[in-house]
Amino acid sequence: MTELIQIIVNGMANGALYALIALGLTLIYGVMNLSNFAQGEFAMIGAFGTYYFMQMHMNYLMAMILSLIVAGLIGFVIHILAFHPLRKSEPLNMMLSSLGVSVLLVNLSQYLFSPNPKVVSNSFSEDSIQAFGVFLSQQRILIVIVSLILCGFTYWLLERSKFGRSVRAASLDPDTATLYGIPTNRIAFITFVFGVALTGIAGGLTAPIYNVYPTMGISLTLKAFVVVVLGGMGNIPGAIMGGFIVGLIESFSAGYVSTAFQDVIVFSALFLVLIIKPEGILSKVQGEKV
Amino acid sequence: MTKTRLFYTAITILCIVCSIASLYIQNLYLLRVFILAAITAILALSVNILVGYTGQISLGHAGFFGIGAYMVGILNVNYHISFWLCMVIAVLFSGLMGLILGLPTTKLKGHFLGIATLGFGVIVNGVLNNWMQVTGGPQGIRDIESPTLFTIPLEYGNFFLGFIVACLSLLVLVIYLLIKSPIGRAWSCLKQDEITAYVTGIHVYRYKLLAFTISGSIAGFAGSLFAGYMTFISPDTFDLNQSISIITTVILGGSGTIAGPLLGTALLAFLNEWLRNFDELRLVIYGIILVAVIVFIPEGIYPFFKNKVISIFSKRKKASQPNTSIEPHAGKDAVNE
Amino acid sequence: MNEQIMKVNNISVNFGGLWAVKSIDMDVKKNEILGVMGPNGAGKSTFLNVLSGLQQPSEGYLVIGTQKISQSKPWNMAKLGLSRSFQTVRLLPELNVLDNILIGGHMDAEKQAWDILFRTKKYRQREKELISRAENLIETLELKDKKYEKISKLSTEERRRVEIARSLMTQPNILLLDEPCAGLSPQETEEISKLILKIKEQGVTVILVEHNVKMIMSLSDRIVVLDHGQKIAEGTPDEIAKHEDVIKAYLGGSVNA
Ligand SMILES: Nc1ncnc2c1ncn2[C@@H]1O[C@H](COP(=O)(O)OP(=O)(O)OP(=O)(O)O)[C@@H](O)[C@H]1O
Ligand SMILES: [Mg+2]
Repeated sequence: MTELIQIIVNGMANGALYALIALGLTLIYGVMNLSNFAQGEFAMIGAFGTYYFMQMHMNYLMAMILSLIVAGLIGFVIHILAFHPLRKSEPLNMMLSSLGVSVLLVNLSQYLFSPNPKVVSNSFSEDSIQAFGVFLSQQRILIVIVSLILCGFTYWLLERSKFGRSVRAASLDPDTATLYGIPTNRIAFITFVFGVALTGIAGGLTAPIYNVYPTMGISLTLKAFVVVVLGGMGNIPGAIMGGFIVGLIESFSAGYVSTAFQDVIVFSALFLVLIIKPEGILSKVQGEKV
Repeated sequence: MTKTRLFYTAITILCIVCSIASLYIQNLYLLRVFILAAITAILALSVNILVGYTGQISLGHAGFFGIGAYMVGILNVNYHISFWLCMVIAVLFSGLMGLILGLPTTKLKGHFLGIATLGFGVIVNGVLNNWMQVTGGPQGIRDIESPTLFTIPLEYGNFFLGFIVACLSLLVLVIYLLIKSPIGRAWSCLKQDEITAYVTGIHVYRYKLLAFTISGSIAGFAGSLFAGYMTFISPDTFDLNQSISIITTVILGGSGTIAGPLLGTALLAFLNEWLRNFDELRLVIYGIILVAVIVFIPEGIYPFFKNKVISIFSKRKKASQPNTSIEPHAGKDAVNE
Repeated sequence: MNEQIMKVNNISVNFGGLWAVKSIDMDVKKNEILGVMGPNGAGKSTFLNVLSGLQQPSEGYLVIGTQKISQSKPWNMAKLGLSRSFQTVRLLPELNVLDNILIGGHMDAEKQAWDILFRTKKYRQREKELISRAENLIETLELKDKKYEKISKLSTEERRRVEIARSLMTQPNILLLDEPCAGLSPQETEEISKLILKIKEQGVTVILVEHNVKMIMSLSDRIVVLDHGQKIAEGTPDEIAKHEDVIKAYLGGSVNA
């Protein structure tokens, strides 16, 4: 029983992380029509940032905030160089460009920081709360809380604010939005930077639990994509639910099958969903108008 | 008709020349680079059928490549089936896997399709890595038989290269015939507009499935060649990076053309060798070049230069015949759009 | 002339609560030009989508020949002899005129792998036939000097012609035209009208959706009027011109114009 609860809690914590990364991914997809395969690399940047700022004797919170800014700035530069020029070309090209960015970032950080994993420890990661005979690490609880708050904030931003309305207009129909004076290019910029900064936070959050290393982003990207597909592209509640589903599938398969088959099981679940409901679990069908 | 005949002749001559030239290459290192490039070229052509001709993304082609190679490895080493029979089985089996992957994914579009195919690659790689009893896990499979073609031992690189060049030429020919046929027309139709395909009676799903099957079996063929050449295979050849590098090759060279993927393969093979000089920064530079090419030449290198040449050529023509430079419908067009 | 070729039985289409097409019944007779008119948003295009299999009806069915069709795969309708053009032209921009028209010959093409890979005599002959059929169409549609032109270099009117040629290439029994004259000048409209009559002469039944009242009145043998998805009138052009509901639907009626 305690084992089961432990598995569920771990799954939820990972799921919240995936949801946060998927949120950035799905926002960027919605506005730029870009499947950003470099998304996880921003989590890696966030994690390395957190590590190095803490090496400079900053506290965890400060380090996270600074590294989120760093992730945003790098995202800004990358958007200018690799994505903005392609905004009018085929989505496939943007996707390939993001693959190039991913290769670049992973290998650059391997060159700069060496491939060896680094350990981040903050005051949270050692302590854990004991409840019902289960050890809950405070860091995992922090992850769940922060992720949910950020998801909620983003949801609010999109649904309620004026900026959010422009973002939604831009993602529904960029041409019409431009006609109505919505600066779609600037919105694409802001969304990209915002999306990768969210992912940067996710990196900072995961750093104390898992080690920090250059290739850590790749599997995060894959998981985030699965989440987005499960939840439906451009759907925030869907991303949160999809995140939890993936996190739980993963921790259950690690607990009861084997960690080695974890990815195989997650992607098999993805296939199952795609077969049954090709548009994702939570999305509404949208046909092409003739 | 004459165009087809010209193509036949060109391919045959190229094939003969390359095969003979391959016998005279003394440098073993160079030989290896050429053989691996030829295998990559076959892979690129197979992805091109999906990406270039049918408009379907595949981010999991290393899966088919791996299935082909492992089919040969497992059957040959564990069951002592002769290499050529293994190869036939591998091609059929990876074609079947293409069909099976196609069944659920032909209903998907764009990014969803990309992620589903990517998932396929991840699943295959996971199975290769972890199904110890059959695939040997991360250690892979050793001592695969080097094939002998009639009496020619292909374990010698020169012979293998000659053989693989012949295979490649044959494949180019087959693909050429396919894309010029009603099948190719149907593919290009559903690539550009599925609704047009519907109203002209093209069974869209069946043609997508066909593309997946053919593409999968060609990639499996590349895999079996790889197994026969290397005689040792392990899962890390067939990972996500491989899938990505294949599709990158196609797009950089120019998808939807025959020369594009071949050119892409040659350029990237050269680039890879040249970048060895940069040691640790190799992949960083690779990433930068990748992004730069996509940003500056999104249509691919081959179409880019082809258009350049054509435009220079036609400019000259126009300069010499100024009367034809004004097209009769140019003005009308502007009004109507 | 009075032989029925298709029966439309109680067809309805619902888009999330909105009935774009509601309980439409009609008979289509062999070798007639059946006009379909109605104000914007009346459901004309949606109705054609049902006929061409691109939209599954929420209710109702079609009878073509002896076959009853309620939920059909889109690619089957072409096989049943229906072909269509679109309100906004759908052509393949990367191909030239000839290749675009050849696409329409798909159903008659030789598609066996063996024949293709070995270029058998049968295959070459079949391809030659298709090409000459396409060339004939190019000739009848007066596109001869545009044969190898890319679609992007054509005018709107030429594009409409190419699309009609592609539809005819499937050798349809029934041709559905969705506003073939939208965006064309009066002369161009005249040209297309002549073309439609020519198509009818060749024994093809035409269902013509059109906003241009004058044109549809002069061309059609019978007219059906839709409004808010429902059929409000049916009859000869003269009857329609006098029909009260039609005049009302067109806001006091420029019908006679
Ligand atoms: N795919 C769709 N989803 C939801 N509503 C649709 C869809 N297609 C059409 N509609 C709605 O159905 C109604 C009928 O549309 P339709 O295009 O058939 O009209 P139409 O008679 O062809 O008009 P027009 O003369 O402008 O071409 C309209 O209100 C339209 O908004
Ligand atoms: Mg319409």
